[in-house]
Amino acid sequence: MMQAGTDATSVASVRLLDITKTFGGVRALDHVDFDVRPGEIHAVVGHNGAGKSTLVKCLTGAQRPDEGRVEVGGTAVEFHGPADGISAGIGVVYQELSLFPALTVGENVLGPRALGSRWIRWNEVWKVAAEHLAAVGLDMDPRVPLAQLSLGQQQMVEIARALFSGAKVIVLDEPTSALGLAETKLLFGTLHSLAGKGRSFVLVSHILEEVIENADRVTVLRDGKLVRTMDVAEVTKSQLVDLMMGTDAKVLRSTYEGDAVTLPPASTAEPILEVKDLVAPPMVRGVDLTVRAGEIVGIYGDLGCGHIQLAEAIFGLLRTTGGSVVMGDDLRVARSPTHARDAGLGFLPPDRHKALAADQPIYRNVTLAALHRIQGWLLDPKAEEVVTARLIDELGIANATPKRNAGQLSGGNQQKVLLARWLVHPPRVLILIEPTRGMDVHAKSEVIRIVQRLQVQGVSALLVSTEPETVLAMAQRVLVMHRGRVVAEYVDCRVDKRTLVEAGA
Amino acid sequence: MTGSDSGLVGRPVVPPKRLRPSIRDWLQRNATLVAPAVALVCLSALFAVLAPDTFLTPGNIRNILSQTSVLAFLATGVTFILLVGEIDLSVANVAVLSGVISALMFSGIPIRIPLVGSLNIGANNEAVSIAVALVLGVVLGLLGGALVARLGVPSFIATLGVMMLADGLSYYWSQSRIIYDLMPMSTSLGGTSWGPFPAIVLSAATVLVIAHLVLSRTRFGRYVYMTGANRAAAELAGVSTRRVLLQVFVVSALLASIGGIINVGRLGSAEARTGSELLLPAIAAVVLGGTSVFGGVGGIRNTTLGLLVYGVLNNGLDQVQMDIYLKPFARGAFLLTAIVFNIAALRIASRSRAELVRTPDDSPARTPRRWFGRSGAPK
Repeated sequence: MMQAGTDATSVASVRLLDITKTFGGVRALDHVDFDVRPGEIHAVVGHNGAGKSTLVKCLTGAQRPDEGRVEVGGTAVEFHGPADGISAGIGVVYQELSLFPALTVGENVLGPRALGSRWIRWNEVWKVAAEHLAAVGLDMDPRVPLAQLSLGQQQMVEIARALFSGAKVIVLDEPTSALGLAETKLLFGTLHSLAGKGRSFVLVSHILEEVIENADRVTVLRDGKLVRTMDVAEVTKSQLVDLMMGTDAKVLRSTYEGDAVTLPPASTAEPILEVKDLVAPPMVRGVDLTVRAGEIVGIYGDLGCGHIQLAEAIFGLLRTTGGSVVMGDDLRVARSPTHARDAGLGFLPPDRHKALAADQPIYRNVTLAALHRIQGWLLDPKAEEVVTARLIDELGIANATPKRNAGQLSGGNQQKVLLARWLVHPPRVLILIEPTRGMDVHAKSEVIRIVQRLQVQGVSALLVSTEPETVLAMAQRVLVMHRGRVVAEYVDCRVDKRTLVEAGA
Repeated sequence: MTGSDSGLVGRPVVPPKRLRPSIRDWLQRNATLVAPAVALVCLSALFAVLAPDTFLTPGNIRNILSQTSVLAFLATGVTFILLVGEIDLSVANVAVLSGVISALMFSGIPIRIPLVGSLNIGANNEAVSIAVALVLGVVLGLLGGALVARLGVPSFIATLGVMMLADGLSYYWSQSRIIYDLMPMSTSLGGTSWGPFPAIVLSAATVLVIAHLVLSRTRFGRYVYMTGANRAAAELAGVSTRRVLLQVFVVSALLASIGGIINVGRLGSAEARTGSELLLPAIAAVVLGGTSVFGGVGGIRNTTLGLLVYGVLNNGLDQVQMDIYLKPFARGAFLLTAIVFNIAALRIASRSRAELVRTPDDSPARTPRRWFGRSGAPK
């Protein structure tokens, strides 16, 4: 195990040895080894829940491992918080930028340290900031407000900040999901030049081409276990997909091949929802799709591929800058969720807490979207309770009575309440985002059953998910999105999880 | 009945599936109403003991109700506002402005409008004077509401601005004059009695009842609660939360205007200087009643209790022997105590619900602890 000293290349900058981390009985990391060498770009890949973010957190000190140890520059350390990680020379650039938009670029680079001594020497601040900005390829006046920078430039500022705080290893969590091609190129150019000066980077990414083009080594995680760490030169994209899916295990191979689904021929029913070249920056970069009557269209894609933003744009939650959404004669691009709903759209968001009024009775949550259809301006709560009781019964919402507060239900049952909301007066197209995420098998199959029953009633659905199995279980036609565009469409053919994952990687 | 016993032999005894239908249970679930009710009873008992000759007399009770009535108009509007999770600082000054402008117009004093000239309509015409005052109130409500709902200005700031506008207009138009020539409508509603009840108490009660019905029985009322409970959720269900916000600010301003017109009748004169001190009592009464400042929880029943608590407190302190300069402190101390009890009540209410419906299939979902911060933060 103790090979650090004998390693031919050099002492690792950071090293995780035999790390195990458990959350409530689930092993997020199971005896994982990981190391970063000076001057390398080390990619970490794996599906949702493979343990990538836990690995990053153990690396930066945000989480303490249950077992195993962390070494920095060959000596064992113990991190008690992210501050320890930073002082040990490990910086992080998060997916959601953690900068201060109201402050200047310079203040953002220096962070609280700009206020280190009793008086702030502004000339010094601007000078130091400009130096660090130049190091990441940003030649600019540090006195500009950060909010004026593009997302890509802001990411550079984050890297500059990590450099200023003395980081030798910088973790980048999905750095390119919101960037355009040019900015992505610029980012990796900067990373390579900094790596040439001895800085190391840990690149967590879903985009495998990016990994293969830019990383030196890649570590594959699956279900909390280390699959393999290897030189990128040795692998192809397809091999990486195999490793992530676990096709090296024969048992697993048979399982996922058994998951192959035969999609029916293309529907010829009239189109109900037509999306043409829709652009909603920065994540949606021109999407065409059609949902026909009685059809469930699935959109698969990894986190950050823009499919969730596409759904939000269709429902009027995101501002669009181009393209059109047509629903019969009623709706051009939705101005607001109200507008979208009145044109016949329904929306089940990925985050239940956002859509549920937890402190309000179930019946109020259920009738909320259709109140204006089932009742006049004067309400009859008794009638609402009857409608709700019927739906509770039909959907099998456990432990529910109409007057009970919605927040008291379990997650799966809360999701059913949100589905019931759109059953009171079914929409023409129901947009479902991650409808079964975080549910056990039983709850999942029930949600699938509810959606299929809606379909029988003539409701079409647009199903958006990062789980290929969910899409395959429900959809008749599957689109795959990648970097804000539809890159593949499957209809009238046999597909399996692997095909989708590879198309979306 | 005894014969059926044999038929049950061998069957498992299944206790009736009841969720502890006890008084205690009822008290727990209605804790947000029980807390201010208990405060009202305790406080009344206290003053009845401290001032036995004066406090619990019919005359004084009528007094308490009258004193509280003007506050009721403002507090009703504030209830709508707090239920959506916002605040309205302009209510008292909008009330004053409406009282002043209706009196000015009715007594024939021209209303000066810069660059336009002066407006002299509605002299001795009640309908026109009242209509103009109410329209002005609605316009100010629309202004505050639009700033909040359309531009996203924090309601604290937007309504602070509207408050200053209303204050400024009251002084500018009245030129600090005191108007004694009031509309018969103002004086009859504000100063006379219908039977044993002061008219102002009856009109306040009417407003409270109507507001209660609006909040509990209309679609608009439901949207108010749902917008306050979780704005993002309401929006995702297609509720136009911006419109709801705009509407509650209009309701609040309109109620304030009505209260202001009646208040001048109670006072016997209209003056820009008096009435604006009602703002904080109006908000205090709503909060004392147990309506959450984070929205979604509370209502007019709470506000009614809160108004009575505030009225009893104010009146009672006047009846007891105490350094008059210590009275504001005593009032503050009591308010804080009552608020702490309300918070405990909120906690008990939501915990009792959690106990009642513990879900066996998986972990019970937790109720957000609203009183520490907003749950379900809007986008």
